[in-house]
Amino acid sequence: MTAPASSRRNRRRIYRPGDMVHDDRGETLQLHAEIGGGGQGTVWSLTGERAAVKLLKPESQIGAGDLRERLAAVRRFDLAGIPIARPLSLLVGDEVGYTMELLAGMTAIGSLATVPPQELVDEWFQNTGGLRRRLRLLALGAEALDRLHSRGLSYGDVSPGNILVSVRSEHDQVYLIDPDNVSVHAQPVKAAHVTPGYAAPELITGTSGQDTLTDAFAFAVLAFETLALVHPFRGDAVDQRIELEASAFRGEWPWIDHPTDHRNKSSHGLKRDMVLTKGLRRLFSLTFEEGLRHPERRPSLREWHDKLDQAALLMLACPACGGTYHTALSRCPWCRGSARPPVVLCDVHGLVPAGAVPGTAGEAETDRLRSLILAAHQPQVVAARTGLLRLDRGPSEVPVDPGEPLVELAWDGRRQLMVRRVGRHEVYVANRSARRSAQLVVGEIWPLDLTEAGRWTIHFGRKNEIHRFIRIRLPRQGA
Amino acid sequence: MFRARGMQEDTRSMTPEQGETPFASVQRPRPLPVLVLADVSGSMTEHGKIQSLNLAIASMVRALARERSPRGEINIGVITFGGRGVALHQRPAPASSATWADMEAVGGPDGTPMGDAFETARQVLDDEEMIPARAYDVTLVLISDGRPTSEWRPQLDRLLSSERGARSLRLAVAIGPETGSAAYRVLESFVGDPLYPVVRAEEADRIPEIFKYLTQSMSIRVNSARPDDASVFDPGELADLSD
Repeated sequence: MTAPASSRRNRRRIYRPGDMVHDDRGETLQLHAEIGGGGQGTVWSLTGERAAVKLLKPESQIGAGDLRERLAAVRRFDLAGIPIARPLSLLVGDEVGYTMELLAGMTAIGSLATVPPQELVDEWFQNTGGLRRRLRLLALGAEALDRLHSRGLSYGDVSPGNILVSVRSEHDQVYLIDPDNVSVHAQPVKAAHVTPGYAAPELITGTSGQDTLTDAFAFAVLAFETLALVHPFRGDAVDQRIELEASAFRGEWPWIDHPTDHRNKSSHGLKRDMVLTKGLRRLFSLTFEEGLRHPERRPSLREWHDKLDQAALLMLACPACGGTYHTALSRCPWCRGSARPPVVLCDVHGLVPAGAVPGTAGEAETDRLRSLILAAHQPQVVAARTGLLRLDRGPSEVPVDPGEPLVELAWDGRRQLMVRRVGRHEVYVANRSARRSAQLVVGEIWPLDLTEAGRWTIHFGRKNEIHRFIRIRLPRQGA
Repeated sequence: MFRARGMQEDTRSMTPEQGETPFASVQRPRPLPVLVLADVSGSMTEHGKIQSLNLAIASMVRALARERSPRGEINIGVITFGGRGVALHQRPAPASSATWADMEAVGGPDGTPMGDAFETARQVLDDEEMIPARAYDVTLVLISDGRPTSEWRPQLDRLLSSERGARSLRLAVAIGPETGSAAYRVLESFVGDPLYPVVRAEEADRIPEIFKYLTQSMSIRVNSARPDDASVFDPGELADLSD
């Protein structure tokens, strides 16, 4: 073995583009650009952009042997259907690290949370997709983490550099990198393993190990930062004195929006009532107030996904400036010039047909499960995650991706709402009181006349089976 | 550029027309300051040293102006010391808005007033208008080709015991002085950390390479998850830069 002094020289702390590393498949790999990373090391894309490499820092004190075991464990987990990088090979030589799959055209989600220098904040915010895209991407991130959690796995190092999103604002893809921390065990970790500012207090103090609850805390920080453009624990007091950050991240300061303790309040960031729905505000206060010291009170990633997805579906685009905002607002908060256009509200319910459940007589429907908004000339696609009751039972053996499209809805602003079936899943439209209904084939467009008596419903499934449907509510004028 | 008490005013001063928009209260990235202390004494006119240094700093400013990291914004300031005394040649400002003017080296009655430069550096570091409280720790870079001609020790002690000075990361470049010489030892006292060697350049033509390393390292820092982590300045790599 090498002496400590020379090993410091051999195992570099800092990598630069163009540096070469070697893996156990005998390949020489060239570092292209640093794309992310967390507490343990940095993640670089490799020349060609089809793979990435994670280089562990010496202070993470993970040896090549440990890493090999951890990656072997990760390979045994069932990660099917989860957008997470699979490990490919181990590095050999002086570096400790591994290569993993990478999608091209991805960047760290952190790039949506902090303003780059020299850019006008409003242009940057809208050019990177504005509020709706931020909500969508966060919802997808929460969905991916929730799927890990539902298999009994935790992710370990949720941080702005570990969740990748599409660079181009017209694409909404989310991809988790850094899979080596995925684990079934909650074992206390060394401080070097966590990303400061995102790690839950109990991880920093070492009183507990990573689990789904520490993932939930880190995700909440990331979500708040991405939506409000201010860190939830970096209030004015902490921001002015960088040395206070560590104690704030240990949970010794209240969060910036604490209702009664104002020691760490912030004069920065976007107005919360502009960017957060009531549901999201409730999840943030649960996580950062009670959940700060009582991890079990933190909302789960499923709840985050639910509220983020719902919030994204309630966004509409301002016809004047293109900024997206919540339908409940009476005018565009970004340009403030334009009153909210009229919208059609589409409520999603579950339908239990008569006889579908033994022992029940008539037909029944659930409360509202989701709402989505249609503004004139702003078509919306209803995805499987919104319209299907069950994602594990597609019409064929092929598993259903939550993002699969079911129908596209477009409203002309007056009396006509077009329904176009775009996916492989069964769709029918019905107007009970007018005794009309029609089964749609793929690609078929069905115009609904909103002035007709009775209400139109759009169904995702068969008439005699339990399924979800959308009820169209009549246009509301802007306030 | 920066007003006292931080970024609220700062945001407005950068985009005054946005004062009323929802974005007015969104913060800019935290400043990551570099303050260069440059020797412009008479001897720097020899062998193209000052020309080389001017070119190197100008190219550093240009390169760092292109950084777009959301994690931090590199601010550059330059203090000169020479025959005509000490001057704040370039007020600390974001690299992107800094306009570089060449420094002029001249001999004069003040010789090499390095001590006064330390004092000016301390004042700059203490001034919240130039180094806002929320800035990351400052990186100080001292570059000199000779020894101070007047008292320097008390000023250095004051700098190193000041709040920001104590936390600063310090690097030094000796153009000419041999390892172990009196001039070299002054630079070692400035660095104040036996781990970090003083970088020694025999000739002026090495200056661009050293500043290129500095530029790259600052760029890596500002793009990293922890811009305050100065471990980018690897002692081994610094040693490799020396002749």
